[in-house]
Amino acid sequence: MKNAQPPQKIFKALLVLSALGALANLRGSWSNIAWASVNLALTTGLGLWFYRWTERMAESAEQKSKKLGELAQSSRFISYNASIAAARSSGPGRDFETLARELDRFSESCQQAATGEHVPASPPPFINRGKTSLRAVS
Amino acid sequence: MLPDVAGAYVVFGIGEALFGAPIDQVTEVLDLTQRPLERLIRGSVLHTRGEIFETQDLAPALGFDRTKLGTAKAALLTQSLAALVDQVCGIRIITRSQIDPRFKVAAHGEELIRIVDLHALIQTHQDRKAA
Repeated sequence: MKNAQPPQKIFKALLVLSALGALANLRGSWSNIAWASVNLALTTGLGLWFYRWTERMAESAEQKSKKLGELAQSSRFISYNASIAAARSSGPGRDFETLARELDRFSESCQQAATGEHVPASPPPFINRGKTSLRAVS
Repeated sequence: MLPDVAGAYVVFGIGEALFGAPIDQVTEVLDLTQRPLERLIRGSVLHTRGEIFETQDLAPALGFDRTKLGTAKAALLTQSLAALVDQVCGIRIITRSQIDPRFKVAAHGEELIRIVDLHALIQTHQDRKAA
């Protein structure tokens, strides 16, 4: 969970500062102590929310990367099978060759997107037919 | 990618070694890690799209110890059975000049691919098992 480290540090620093503030105010009046307690509670609450939010973001990025990796792998296998089909057929089999090339390109772009290099290219048009899960990822 | 040119090979990996089978010996490649419809039943039968294939692990046939490698992650379907391998690396066009006929090894870019006759390999292994 590398992405969550800097926010964790910020959260801890805020918490320490807030606690120090509360301690400093202990010498003051009851209203000051009450205000410091509210301040501490708010900082803790906000910090926790912020921490969980960053954690969720990191998780969703991880899941997206995993899903893109799986998509790249699936497209690669479909591409291999299209190549095999093209090799085993004559004439119209040439269409499989084009299909294999398109899938190869798509798989490559998914792989790059999974490793955070760039946004994936649009999938070949035939992939979107009835495959909502693929559409959602791209 | 020129799949209809003679010399196209399905390149697969077992352990860290690469092997190439002529493309006309393979009808389909299957990824066993992702597709839920394909099931290896007790490691000896593969179920895919309503069809049942007998499986043959290529690791022992090629001199590898499967127990050290972990489970197979892909399958090459032939006319008669499913050959289990660790990974499918792609389709490569290998020219005659790239193949060293003495060792049946092809140098393709940085890859060293051992060319295998899938049918003969499976037959030999089955005969050896039967004997």
